Amino acid sequence: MGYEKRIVTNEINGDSYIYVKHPSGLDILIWKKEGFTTTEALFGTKYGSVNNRFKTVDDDEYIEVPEGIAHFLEHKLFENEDTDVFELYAQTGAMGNAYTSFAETVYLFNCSENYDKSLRILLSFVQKPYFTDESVAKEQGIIGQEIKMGLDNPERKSFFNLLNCLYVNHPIKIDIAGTVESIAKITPELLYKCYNTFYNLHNMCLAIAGNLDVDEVLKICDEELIPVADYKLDASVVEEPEEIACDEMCEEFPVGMPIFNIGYKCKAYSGYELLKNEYIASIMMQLVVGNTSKLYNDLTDEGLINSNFGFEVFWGSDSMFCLIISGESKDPKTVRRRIEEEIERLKRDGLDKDEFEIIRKSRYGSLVKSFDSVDTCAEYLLNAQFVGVDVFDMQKALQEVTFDEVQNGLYKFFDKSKSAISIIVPSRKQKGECDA
Amino acid sequence: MNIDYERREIARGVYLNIIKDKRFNSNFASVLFITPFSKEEASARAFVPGILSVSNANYPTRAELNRKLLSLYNASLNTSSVVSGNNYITGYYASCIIDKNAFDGENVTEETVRLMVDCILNPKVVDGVFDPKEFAILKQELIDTIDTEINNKRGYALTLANEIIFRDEPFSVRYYGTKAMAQALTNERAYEIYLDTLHNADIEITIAGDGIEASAKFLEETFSELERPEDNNIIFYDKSPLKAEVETVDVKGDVQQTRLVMAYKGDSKNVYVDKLMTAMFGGVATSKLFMNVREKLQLCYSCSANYKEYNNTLIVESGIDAKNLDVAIKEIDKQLKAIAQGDFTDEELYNTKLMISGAFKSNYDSLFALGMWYDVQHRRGTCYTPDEVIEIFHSITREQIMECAGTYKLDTVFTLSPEV
Repeated sequence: MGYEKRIVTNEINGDSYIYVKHPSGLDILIWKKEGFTTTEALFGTKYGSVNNRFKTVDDDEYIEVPEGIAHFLEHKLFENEDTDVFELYAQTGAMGNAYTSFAETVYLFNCSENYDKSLRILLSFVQKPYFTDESVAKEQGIIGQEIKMGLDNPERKSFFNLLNCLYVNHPIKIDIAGTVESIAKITPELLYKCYNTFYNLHNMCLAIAGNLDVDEVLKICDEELIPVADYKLDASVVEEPEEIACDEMCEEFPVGMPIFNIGYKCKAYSGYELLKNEYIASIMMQLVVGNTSKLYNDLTDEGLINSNFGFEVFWGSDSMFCLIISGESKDPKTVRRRIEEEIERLKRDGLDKDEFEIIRKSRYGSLVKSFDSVDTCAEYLLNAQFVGVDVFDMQKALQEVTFDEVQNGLYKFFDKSKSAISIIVPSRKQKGECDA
Repeated sequence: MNIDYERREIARGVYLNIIKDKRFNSNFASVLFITPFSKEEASARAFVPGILSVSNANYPTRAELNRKLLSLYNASLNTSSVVSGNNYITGYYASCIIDKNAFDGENVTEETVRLMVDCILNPKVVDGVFDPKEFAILKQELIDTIDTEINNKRGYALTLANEIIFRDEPFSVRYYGTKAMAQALTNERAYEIYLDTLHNADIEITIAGDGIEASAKFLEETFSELERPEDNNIIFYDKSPLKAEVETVDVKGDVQQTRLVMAYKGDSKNVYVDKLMTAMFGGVATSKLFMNVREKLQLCYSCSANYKEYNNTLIVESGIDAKNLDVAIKEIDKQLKAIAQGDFTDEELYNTKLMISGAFKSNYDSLFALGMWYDVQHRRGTCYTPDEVIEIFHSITREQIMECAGTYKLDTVFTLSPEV
């Protein structure tokens, strides 16, 4: 079979993987890890919880579907007409699993033997949907329990409350699993509609890393992949204003001390620009609130934060980008105020260039270390493909980040008018404007 | 797969484990202190690794130590505190890139290992105790940890259940102690416990990776000079006694979903049979609990079993609606009895062996996992490789599984349920 094939090489240590555009329309990425025992394969689609509105070339209008349906579909795909997928994996010794994120659904297995047989199972069941009224009703019960489990998680609540502060329309603010009420509206017909729209090989990717044979992987793909027409999917999310929805949200929960998430809404990026800006923003955040920063150490000394304090650059899909600082504090509002003051001080006085170099070096070290994990390599392959870059572009982007870009990031990313705080306070306090 | 592994006792109760492996981009080192303990010491023992990991005499502030770690290509320094068997184990773990991945040929591995050892043996001391400022911060953090244990409902339920399942046994103790213990902790007492650990604990040291010879030599020279006690009374295996009657405890809490924890106590003699039986009962995605409690009866999102090797105890855990509690308990019990009565196919048994084998083999792909693998092997008094253990698994018969399951009797049913 004729493939469009490309070898992608890491210039630093010579590692390489292969990209193949399969005739079926699927992007395939294969990374042979010499000397390793395990193999990890991920078969994913660019379909997550934010894609609850879409149309294809055959549709005149956008179709809206219930919240949580992508996650529901992930669960249901494990049940074939004649057998349970986990039982098939059990015969090969593989551990199968799946997850749904904001922007993707991924089916995976990890094994130490029989990766060829497991790969056939993976490719086969994901292409073979089977939904009935009975099986949908069954799953509503199981996922209902999963949702309830999430309702007992205060960190998750605080995180989604922050997204509800920052985003007016964007579906990123909706919990991936949906609600008990929203999943009650799911029917087999809706599942087939979503499946046929998003589980199109042109919208999907296979990433496999570890102990494998490249030719054998491609042979299995040739035999198992069923070509379909490209539906020219339009899954653009609703328009999101630059402004935030509200700058504070407080909620009671049975917690030992207040939990907070502070966020800064930023412009969205895609492709290599996303990669680069993620590094710029994360290095900048390390300089402002990281564990070597003045602010972090002052807040620790004053007992305002503890070791659960952290930060992240969050982009659940390439249509949104924000910075999040989170933790526990007896006084989250003071933490927020101090962060804002420190940002203003650093805008005036500038960042420390020596510290910047140390942090950039540390990021390189983290990246190099992460290539030791077969699972991580497979995840990198899939994520990079969905973003539209190569895995080793991460090193390139990191090397390209300049001190000036990070310094300018203070203005680019930290806009006080687009910041918000979500606070979870211990129960039995007044709701609304909280005194945390 | 061949592992280049070497172990030797470098002083009484101090063991150096060396794993040479050139496949990885990073190296790994750990130092574990293992000591018997009384529950009154839990907070002090949990406190010590925290304060040792934020500074040392050469890098006396958090910022300085963290900056040094970042400059070593983000070398990591982590700690752990666990109650294991009748012992308290405090662990120090370092990881860094291998030297040949460094830009300028720096000795990243040796520097990282020396930094970790400095934190352990050369802390910042002021007037014979830990730095008072750091002591105050970390004591408060320990109290906060105890205060916030209710945040994680699953972990909280397990903690409460543990106290009932293992009442009056060392394993019932929260690794960080109680709030009263944490509040009463003094700097003097914490420092005393630190010195006691250093001089009286058994010590397991591991260094793994590529280009580790100089670091191994340094570790050997340093730790062989420590003052050593007579033989320690380290006991890992201490069977938890079965209660005369099943104890049922319900705690009300501000939760949406009932957390169920059930404990079975057994009398099996072969750890690998126990592990295989547990996997078949509730450890893999085709287990009896997953296929019946979740898939068939749709009572929960997850229902799993976990084997506490040192206590011969099987813990089942799930999150369910309160109205389904009785049905779930009966079904869980029924599935364990089903295994004891041989209600499983040879294929089920073989497939479970395959899945476990895959999981065990994956230890070859991580230096950390290999280090921990040998640590556990030595506690069992063996030195098997993952491949050798897989052979043992494949030799286990269905009769052994049935016999093993039959020894487990229900001991405790604990629930954390919504207030009505």
